[in-house]
Amino acid sequence: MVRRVVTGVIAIANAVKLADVDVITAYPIRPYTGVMNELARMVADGEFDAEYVIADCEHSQFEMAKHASMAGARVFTGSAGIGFAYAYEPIVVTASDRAPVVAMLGDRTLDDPGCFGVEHTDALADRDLGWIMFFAENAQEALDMTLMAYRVAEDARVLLPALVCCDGHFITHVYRPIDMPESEQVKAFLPPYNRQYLLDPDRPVSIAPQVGSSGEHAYEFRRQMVEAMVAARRIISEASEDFGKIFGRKYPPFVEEYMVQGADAVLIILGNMSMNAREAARQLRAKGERVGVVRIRTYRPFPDVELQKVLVSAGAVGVVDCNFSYGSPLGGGIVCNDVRSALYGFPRAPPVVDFFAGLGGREVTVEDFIGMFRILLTAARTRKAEKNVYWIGLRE
Amino acid sequence: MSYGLKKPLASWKEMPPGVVVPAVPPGGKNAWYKTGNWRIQRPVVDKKKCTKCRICWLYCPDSAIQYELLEADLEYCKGCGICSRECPAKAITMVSEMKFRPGE
Amino acid sequence: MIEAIYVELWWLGMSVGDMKSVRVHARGVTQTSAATQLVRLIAEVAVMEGKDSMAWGYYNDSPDRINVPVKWYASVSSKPIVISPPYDPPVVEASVILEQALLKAWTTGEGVGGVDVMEGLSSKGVLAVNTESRFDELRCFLPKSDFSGRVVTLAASRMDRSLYVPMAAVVAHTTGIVSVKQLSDLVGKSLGEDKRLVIDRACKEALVEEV
Repeated sequence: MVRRVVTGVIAIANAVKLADVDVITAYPIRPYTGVMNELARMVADGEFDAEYVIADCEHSQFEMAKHASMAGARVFTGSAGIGFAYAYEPIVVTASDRAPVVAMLGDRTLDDPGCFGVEHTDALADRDLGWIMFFAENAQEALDMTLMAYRVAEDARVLLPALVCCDGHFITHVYRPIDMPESEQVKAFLPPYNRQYLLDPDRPVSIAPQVGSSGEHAYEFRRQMVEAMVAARRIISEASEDFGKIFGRKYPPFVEEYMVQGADAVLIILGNMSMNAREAARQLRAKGERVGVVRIRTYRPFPDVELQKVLVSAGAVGVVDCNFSYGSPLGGGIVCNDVRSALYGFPRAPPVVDFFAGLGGREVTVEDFIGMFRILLTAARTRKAEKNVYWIGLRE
Repeated sequence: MSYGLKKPLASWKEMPPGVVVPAVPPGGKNAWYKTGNWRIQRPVVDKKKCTKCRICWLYCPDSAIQYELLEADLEYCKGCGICSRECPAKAITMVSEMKFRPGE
Repeated sequence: MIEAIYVELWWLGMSVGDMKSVRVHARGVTQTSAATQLVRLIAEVAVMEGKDSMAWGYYNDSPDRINVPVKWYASVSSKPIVISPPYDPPVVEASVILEQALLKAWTTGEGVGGVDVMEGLSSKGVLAVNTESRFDELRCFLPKSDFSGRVVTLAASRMDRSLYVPMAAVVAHTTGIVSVKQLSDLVGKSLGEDKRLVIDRACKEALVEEV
């Protein structure tokens, strides 16, 4: 295990090299460009052998990735923010064609306004399409999630594309020390990519033809996709066990719980912001307040069972939303509405409060999180939320 | 019509909707972003050699050389040296910034 | 109750009390690589010493503009760093200037593009300038402040083409954020033995003055 000081993008590029990817399609957009640069340097220096294609736009980039995957190649691609939105057509089709593409998303504010700061809407807006979604917290986790993504996506029972979402700047552009795995460990963890229905002239198949528009076939295909997501839940747990055994780093597969025993107030959070939330939880626990933090690592398939187990006994639940969903029910963000639905129907479900924080890449400090916990503790005492939605740090 | 914005970090109620910000008219100056500190060297005009041909004003990529005064506006001049290169009378020399104290 | 005590002790152990940051001011495009390598070098030496570190550039800038002032940072802590990296740490132990005209960059004005190299510099900190002049000649360029630390001047551009190696040596020598010996070892292994001599020369020739 070699210890190196790298940014998140260099870590992901090394994961791609270790996974021995066959085809890389690229198109620059900050903050994902670093991955593209590092992979280009590696391929040019001969560190590994891959077909490196620069597309003319993100749409072509994801189209090429999908076709290469269906022809039997292990593929890596990536994008960010509005570039990912440009590729919406191939993104939809990659999932329903069951092409196990692994894409890295440098989470970036969706234009307009143009901004490189972190927001999760670019990933979460496409949550319904059938992509497996992982949210990383730091560079080490980004590397590990990329390896997990290949293992889970290419499994024959799953065959769904996977998205590894990393916060712009906080993960992609900050140099941190990480443990670089050895290639023998990765070979033990990742079996080769073997796809049953390949694009092969010797055994011709037609993938995704036009089907009958009176509902002859499409309905059954949708049911198959749901089954694939159910299988993905099992495979993610199995792969996490294997990962812990081979690499020595044990991650909880779906949610990471922190100080939730007997917690009156629990904050649910995604991404790098959770580090400051945990520091706030530590400071409040030291003063005797009972607070906890739950970080969602795998967003699709959604960890409803795990969240129900943790949250049903909490006094109040707060969800930190670094995204937007205009006109949504109760004015909540995307994650808040998903969490609320997961808790619906439980007779003593806690009040759920939504906190918008960090949009546009604005820093969310430890003091902000302490303020959020105080609001939740009040809600836990009075057994009801005073407001459904709070905007933290807004200039009024 | 100018959309007067009082300060760049305004509250959400004061900001014009649709991500609108006031633009700088042609030949105008951007009051909210001054690029003078990009300079490592500054143009010094020798008024005795200057023939007032205005070629420096024409070539300046930042509109920093003013038409009437024929001197660089030091709040915006980036010190690229194009005016010095183009002057046919060789009246402009580029001098290192470290020779001028703040305020000169 | 036991849980609360355990948490209290553990929190005290993980506090960010001794995290020290360094800020590097440089010119865009021509010196971005030097600034990046400087903060990366500090971060790597810290990891070699068993500390935790992080290095990053000010994300708000678009640094692809020639001669724009850019800022890069390195933070070092003897305990694991458990908070998310700030965009701009409010207090820095050292402010390193890779191009001397940046001392005047504050004159543009606050909020409209001005950069104050003394901002956030702790009163016992270090101002390190890459310059051929002595500090007496540079004093007139700085804004008024209650800074009472040390100023280091070094003609790093003349000493080595990659000007980050002598500047890193000077930072380590004066602030003690990482040790000069470990820096020398790492640089000797990765960049060649002749760079070790550059480090020694930088530590000897740097002029350190109390303000």
